[in-house]
Amino acid sequence: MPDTWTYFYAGYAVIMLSILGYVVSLFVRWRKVKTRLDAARKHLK
Amino acid sequence: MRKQPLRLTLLDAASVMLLAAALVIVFFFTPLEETMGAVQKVFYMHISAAWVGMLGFLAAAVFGGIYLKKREPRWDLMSETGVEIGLVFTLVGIVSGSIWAKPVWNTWWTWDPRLTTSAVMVLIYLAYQMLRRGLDDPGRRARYSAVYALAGFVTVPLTFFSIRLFRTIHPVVVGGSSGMFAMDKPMLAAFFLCLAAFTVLFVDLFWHRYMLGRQIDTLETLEAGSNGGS
Repeated sequence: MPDTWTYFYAGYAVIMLSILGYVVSLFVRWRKVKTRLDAARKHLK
Repeated sequence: MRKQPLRLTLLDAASVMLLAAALVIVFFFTPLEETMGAVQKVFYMHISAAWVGMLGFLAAAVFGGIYLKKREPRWDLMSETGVEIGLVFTLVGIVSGSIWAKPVWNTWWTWDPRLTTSAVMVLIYLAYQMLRRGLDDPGRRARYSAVYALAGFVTVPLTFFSIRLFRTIHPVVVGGSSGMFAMDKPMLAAFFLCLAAFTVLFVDLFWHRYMLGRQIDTLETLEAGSNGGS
């Protein structure tokens, strides 16, 4: 049986880090929009 | 600012738990395949990622079609959400497949029908993103994007069936010549667990991205009103 553990770890690192990266991108965008929304609402009052 | 719905919080928890369970099963409880060794285990989440990618593009086409019928902005937002998540997971599928291919095919990439159609599919949906950014009028953007999402969906069945229609070196795991699922029972259990985990994760991410889109729409409306009033 060939030793392919390195590729196995690399594969799962790519999959999990990509999912984590997307979740972080959603959070960062949400924070940015929230800040601008708060400012816009304050401006309207 | 609206609070997150309880159902979404529960879905977050279900996604994390299912994904963690799938990882534990794949890492510690699935058998090692004889000819490929450990790298074969990449396939469980490689297929799941590809499945979610296609699910995203299917959602984009369906919601795009509904938008054309009803002309309500929320369907356009759902279509956009489907494409974004579809792109992320299709790219994950392509890169993880490439990592699997290196020790098995002795190359990171080959112009095999499945790989080629997958690459074309990604390019088609990247162009969708460019189209959206190129149109300022929301109504026109939604209309053109919906038509594009419907037309672009042609690449999805083409990619799915490419390994069944053309000569290829890509394995046919589902519906191949050696039965519906060419796997042992423990492998099959892990495979379905990964599929379920990724499907729940898809719904969860879709919901979050949709809520973000709604907030962006509210912000644009507020800022437009503020600019118009001043």
